Amino acid sequence: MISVNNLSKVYKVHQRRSNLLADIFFRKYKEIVALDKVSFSIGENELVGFIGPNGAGKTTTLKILSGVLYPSSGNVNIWGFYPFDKKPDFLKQIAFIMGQRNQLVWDLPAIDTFKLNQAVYEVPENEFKKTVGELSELLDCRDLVYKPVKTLSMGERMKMELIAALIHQPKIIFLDEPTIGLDIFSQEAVRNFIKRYQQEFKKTIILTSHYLEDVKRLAKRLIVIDKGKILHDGNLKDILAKFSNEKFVSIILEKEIDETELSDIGQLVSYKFPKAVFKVKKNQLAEKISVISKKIPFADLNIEEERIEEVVKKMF
Amino acid sequence: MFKKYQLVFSTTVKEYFAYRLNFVLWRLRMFIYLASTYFFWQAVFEKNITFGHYDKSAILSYILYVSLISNFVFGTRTSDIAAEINDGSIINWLLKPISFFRLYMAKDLVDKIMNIAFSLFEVWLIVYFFKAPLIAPKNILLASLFFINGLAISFYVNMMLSFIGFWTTEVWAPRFVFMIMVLFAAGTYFPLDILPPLLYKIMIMTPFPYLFFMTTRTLVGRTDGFVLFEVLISFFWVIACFFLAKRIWKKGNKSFSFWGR
Ligand SMILES: Nc1ncnc2c1ncn2[C@@H]1O[C@H](COP(=O)(O)OP(=O)(O)OP(=O)(O)O)[C@@H](O)[C@H]1O
Ligand SMILES: [Mg+2]
Repeated sequence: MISVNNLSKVYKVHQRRSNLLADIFFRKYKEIVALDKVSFSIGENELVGFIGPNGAGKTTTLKILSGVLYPSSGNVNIWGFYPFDKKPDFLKQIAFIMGQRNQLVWDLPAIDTFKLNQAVYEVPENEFKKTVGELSELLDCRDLVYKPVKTLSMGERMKMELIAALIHQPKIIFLDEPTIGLDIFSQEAVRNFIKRYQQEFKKTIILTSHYLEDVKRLAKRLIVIDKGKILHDGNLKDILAKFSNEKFVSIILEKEIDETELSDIGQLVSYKFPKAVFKVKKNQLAEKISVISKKIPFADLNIEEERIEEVVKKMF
Repeated sequence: MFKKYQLVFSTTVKEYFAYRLNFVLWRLRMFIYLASTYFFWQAVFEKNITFGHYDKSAILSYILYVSLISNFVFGTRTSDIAAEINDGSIINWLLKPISFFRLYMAKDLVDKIMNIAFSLFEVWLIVYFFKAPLIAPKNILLASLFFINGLAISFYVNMMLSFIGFWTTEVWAPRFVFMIMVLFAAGTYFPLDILPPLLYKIMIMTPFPYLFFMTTRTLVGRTDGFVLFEVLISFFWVIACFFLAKRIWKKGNKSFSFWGR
């Protein structure tokens, strides 16, 4: 459905010069390669997360996929449309939601923006009512739609933004850091909304976030990107299998033991009676566990995966 | 099809009412300009001389009609566009199935109507309290033609001036130059055809007299017969501005990098 082939984007940044005339007539540009021959494809009803450090090219990718930016080279095809053409039939099927960027009319209640969008997207009245009803139900914010936007809290405003952006029931939704700048409760609310929305309405969602929590909770498939190149494209488990070669063994001790004694066994990550955690290479797992069971009396033993945060950090 | 632009219109009206006071203050300023120009010319004509083919009632009518028409022609929201480009919020409109040009036509129409409503009232004040010798409008058909062309020229020039935002944040500079030219060459404060003939002949090759001077001159009946040349030039500028604006829009969209995270 979405297919991207050898996509590159080079930003030309105008370098200011002190001589105004030279600045206007002989502009100097610096080139920044934001995307470097990226290829991937995304199918119907997928929820894909883009992760990567600052400046990796995540936002650039979404801007090209939605048709805002003109790619420098390569192919983008979404149901046969070339996004940059911005054909109405294409635009009616997508939504681009950026955290902290608002389309709501500031001085008016959100319902006015909803109605404006209803007209712009030519949504029939009964569908409009149904969609607004369902979405405000999911977001638990029925009474907010009639309050002037400027009087809403940031979290409340984000909820209104989500409704405004989804009134036309788009098939593909691009979400660029939807939880950025929100308090943890609003972050949670937005996350839950995205999850339930995707499950109930079967949409294709492409999400970027700095918060691994978002991506981990929402996306089965991750595309890891850095410096304009894709490092990995696969599901969470694959990433762990490929990039994580350590596991954590945590035990609950029966009685207090001296820390040095524990350290002798293996790499001790933390110890606070009764809990002790060891970091163990995957290939030594069986061996270490047998050593532990022989030497230390414990009440419980658990093997945990390395945290995705740690794995991803190591990738860059 | 037109429903969307209708909604843009009504939403913009609502926005205006959120800033009533601002708008009233702006109108007050415009009223002061109008009144001072009017009284200036009235003082000039104390001795009942004539300027070119303008006598007292013609020139005072010209000032009043120009005020009405220029208020309508210049009513615009396009000055918001550069800021929308710069802060990236223009993306919201780009990604909607709506024509950006028509969107701003609808928004402009709101500004025009709000302005003309007040302007009518202001002109009425002057006519009523100072017994202004207002000439009944003449040549309405021809005037309407110039009027529509003036609207189009003004709109596309405004769009072009805003699209400069795709290349630089200093959009005020070209707009400032444009406004200076308007002040000087569009006929806001005096009818252009009282100028020396050679200067006037050069001026009517530029787009400025076609914004509202031609319309007003026609309305107060000071056109000397044959205006085919002026009509043709006005159409030329409409077409030129239209294509230029579209081109700049396309180019800007391609080259701009749309800032923001
Ligand atoms: N409008 C622009 N003009 C010039 N360079 C840009 C522009 N937008 C982005 N860049 C550069 O392109 C690269 C990729 O930027 P992009 O915004 O796609 O990163 P990102 O992955 O979204 O980062 P973040 O996590 O910080 O949002 C960066 O080096 C950035 O500096
Ligand atoms: Mg980004």
